[in-house]
Amino acid sequence: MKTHVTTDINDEAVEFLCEPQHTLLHVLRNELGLTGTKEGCGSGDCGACSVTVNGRLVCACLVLAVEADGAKIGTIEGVANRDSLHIIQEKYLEHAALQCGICTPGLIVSTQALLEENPNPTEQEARYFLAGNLCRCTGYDKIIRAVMDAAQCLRQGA
Amino acid sequence: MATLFFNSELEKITECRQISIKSNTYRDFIEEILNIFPDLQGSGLMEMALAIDGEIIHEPLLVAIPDNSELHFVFKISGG
Amino acid sequence: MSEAKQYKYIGQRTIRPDGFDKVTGRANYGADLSLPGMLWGKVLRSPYAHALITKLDTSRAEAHPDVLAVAGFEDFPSVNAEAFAAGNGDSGMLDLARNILADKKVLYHGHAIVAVAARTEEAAAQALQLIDVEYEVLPPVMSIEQAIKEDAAVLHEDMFTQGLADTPSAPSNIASRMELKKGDVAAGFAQADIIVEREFSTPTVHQGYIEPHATTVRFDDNGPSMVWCPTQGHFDVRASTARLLNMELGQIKVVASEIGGGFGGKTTVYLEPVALVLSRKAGRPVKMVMSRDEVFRASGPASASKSRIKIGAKSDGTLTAVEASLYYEAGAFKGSPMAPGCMTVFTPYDVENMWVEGFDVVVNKAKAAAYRAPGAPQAEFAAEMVMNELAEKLAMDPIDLRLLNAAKAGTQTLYGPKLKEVGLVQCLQAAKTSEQYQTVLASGEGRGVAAGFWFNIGGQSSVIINMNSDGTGTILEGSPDIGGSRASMQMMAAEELGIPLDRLNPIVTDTEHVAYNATTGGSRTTFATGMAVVEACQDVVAQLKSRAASMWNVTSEQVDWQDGSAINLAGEDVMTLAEICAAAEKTGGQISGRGNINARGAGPSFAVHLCDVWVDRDTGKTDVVRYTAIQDAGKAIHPGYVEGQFQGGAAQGIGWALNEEYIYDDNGIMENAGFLDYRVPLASDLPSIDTIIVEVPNAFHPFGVRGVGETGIIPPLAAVGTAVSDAIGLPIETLPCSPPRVLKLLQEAAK
Repeated sequence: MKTHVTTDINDEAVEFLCEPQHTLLHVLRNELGLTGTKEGCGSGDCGACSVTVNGRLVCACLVLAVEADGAKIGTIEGVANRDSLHIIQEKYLEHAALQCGICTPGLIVSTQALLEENPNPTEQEARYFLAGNLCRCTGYDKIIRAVMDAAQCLRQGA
Repeated sequence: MATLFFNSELEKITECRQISIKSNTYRDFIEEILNIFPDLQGSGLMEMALAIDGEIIHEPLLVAIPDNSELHFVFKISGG
Repeated sequence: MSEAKQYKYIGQRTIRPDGFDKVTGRANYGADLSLPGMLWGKVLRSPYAHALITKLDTSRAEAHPDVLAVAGFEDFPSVNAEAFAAGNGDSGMLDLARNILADKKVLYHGHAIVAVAARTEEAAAQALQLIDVEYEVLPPVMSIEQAIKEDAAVLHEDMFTQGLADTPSAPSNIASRMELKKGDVAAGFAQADIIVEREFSTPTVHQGYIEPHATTVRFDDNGPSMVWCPTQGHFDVRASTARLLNMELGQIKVVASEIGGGFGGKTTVYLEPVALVLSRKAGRPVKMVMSRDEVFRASGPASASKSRIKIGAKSDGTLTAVEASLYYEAGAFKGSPMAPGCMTVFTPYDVENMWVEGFDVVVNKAKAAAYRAPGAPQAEFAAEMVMNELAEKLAMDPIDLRLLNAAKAGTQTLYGPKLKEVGLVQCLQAAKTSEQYQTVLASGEGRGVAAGFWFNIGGQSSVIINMNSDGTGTILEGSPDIGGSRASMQMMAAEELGIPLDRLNPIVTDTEHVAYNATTGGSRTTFATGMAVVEACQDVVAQLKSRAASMWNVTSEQVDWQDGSAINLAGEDVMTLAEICAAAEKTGGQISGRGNINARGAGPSFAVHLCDVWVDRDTGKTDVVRYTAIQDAGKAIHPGYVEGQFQGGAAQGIGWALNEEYIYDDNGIMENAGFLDYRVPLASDLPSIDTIIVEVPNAFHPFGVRGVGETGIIPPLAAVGTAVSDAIGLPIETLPCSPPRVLKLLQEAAK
């Protein structure tokens, strides 16, 4: 028995039908074509599926799709403004903070959540906030540099 | 004349560490050593890379063997 | 060569051309493709580590209304044991087939048995429950010690140890033995004033790529069948799949999606041939995606190892003899990286007398796959630990001990040739003067130094550059881009052609649009595919010169090429690349350059890492407080991505040294098959990883490139192990130095 869900994804009204057991991640990727949100583990351990629900950072694999009803969902597809990248995205590229790139969408969504909550994080705060996003390629060094640089630019209103 | 050195696995067959090589192409060189050591035929030699003066060549079929060069058969490496 | 030349793009920190897609979520990875009418494939996996399949009945699953196909080992008709026993065919291909769908016997927990394709994921999962299998459970063989015992259960009745002086009469779990020697180790040890000997072990670890294996396929009777997958080498996926399904290469088109990490683990196939069998049977596209649990249990792991190292030295530190016995777990099928382990173990040092033996041992674990410098981290870990112990016993600085014995141009390696120019000495010197090495350790901290060596490889690469009438161009290459290699291809081509970066679009194309490319691995891509790019550019330039010559009515020899323009040496005319391309219609059509090579002359890359740790003596937890990775890149095309390789290798090595390990229960079932319990390093686990790029050019590459991808994972194991040992004042012989293990060492020492 499918459920009808009305939601808002990246500031657009969206409706979908889903099975009760389906996760938000499943619906984003398989029903709505929003494949920027990645699945690395399906158990909330890797952060590749990081999205925001009503402004709160969550793993989409741990949220049921029906929970999206009436909520505001933010995904990687909503971070850039048309063709102009968000400063966080620019800084990831400038600092070579991605190699394979599979963790990058989740990390960028998490970075945005971090900097909204704490515009002036210490390096240690950034490392702990992003500890839920696994990256196997970079050793995190360049990611943290990108985050700190983006934070500074955002504070300066760049 | 080039010098061919055998690693210890090949040495088990050739019972010598090194020999002088007259050939100046890989094809002649293989023929030359198989004439001297017929037992090398089944040793997987042809599947090994050849190092000529330190340059490892995985597919040496068409290479020239320079005079006074040092030759080694090397297990092929793949990698991650 | 390189050092004299000023480059316009090479050495710059450019923005990668695939960056926009990767930071916006637009890039398509393995699991991102869906096709109309697509079915979902799922795999039934063994619940036992070692068992005979006594009954396998899929009829109830086949009767499920949503199930359209079932596939098993018998669907690989061209590979069967009888043919191989008769000496026909490649036993590696038989093992590959048996690994991706078991043949009468399951050899590890999670071993694939049969696959089903159904209309939905849920139906496929239900169908697996309807498959009736009966097993005769056999004792699991879960370690090297168990496997090599006389009375061990034998995994393969047809496996007899190769490489022994006498042909064995009984099957064994030791697939092969090899031996390398030079000089006379007995004489060398007799000359030694000090000898250090110790045994070590390292655990089974996983590459830990964040993207699970996935594929979407469509079998097609009327044209090439399509395979879409994340892989380090789509040409080799095509070759394996064609071989297993008895198809021609031209009947399969493999499209490499973006790849979410590989590290060697995506150099083989698991799902693709199975999915194509299902698609052929069902007449519909099929998608298969592994769960993280399946990734851990049935893909990847890197070999666990046991080793014994013996090093003798004079009292001034000069090494007189080195000796190693190295055992590697191959997993369920032969083929551990024992040989490269033997070849790399002592290569950082110039020693007259060397002796190494290696053993390839099968156990009831998933078939080991390549992992970044396969075989080297396990072996060099052990050797470097002993080097550090030797330095301590001689009261020598560990860098000075290494400098005294360092391999350099002309050093006779154990594996064969003498080394050409290499950068180990430069790395050691840079380590010695580094900020970290000058930093005085705080109380409770420990420091470790370690070196690492990896060969790097060349191999086949094919590149086509198509120029457009406005002077823009596309670079078609066939090397999947795992860490930014499109950027380096674009930079090398722009440098060679003398045109701006954004005029060139590098595309990793499928198996139909360029000729064969060897798999991205062995640190080969920037080196070998880079050489193919340069060759294709030279082809383009030769044609551009010829076209300019015909416009000017002079000979090609009268035309020079400088900074992206043709110059008429017989006059004063200059034509830019864009102008020549614009006129190409009049001079014979548009221009296309080609570089198809089998690259040789790969340059070895040495590295030296420094690690400082602090150990919490109450919990046994180790914090890495400072870390520096120093490595010879030959020439860094894009320094940012070169540093990234150093840092990524260091982080994986730190994980291997401190936390990562497969934990099995008594029945051989992995207990930590998820990222919560198999703990890879998190952002909060690591400090900044400082890097120093050393550049000793590789004379065989037009820009001096050595590969950089793999070496960086080698030194961390001993750098961390030594640092922990230094901090707690106790020897470390077993990795990982996880909190329980370190705490136990501390508690035992306190008794």
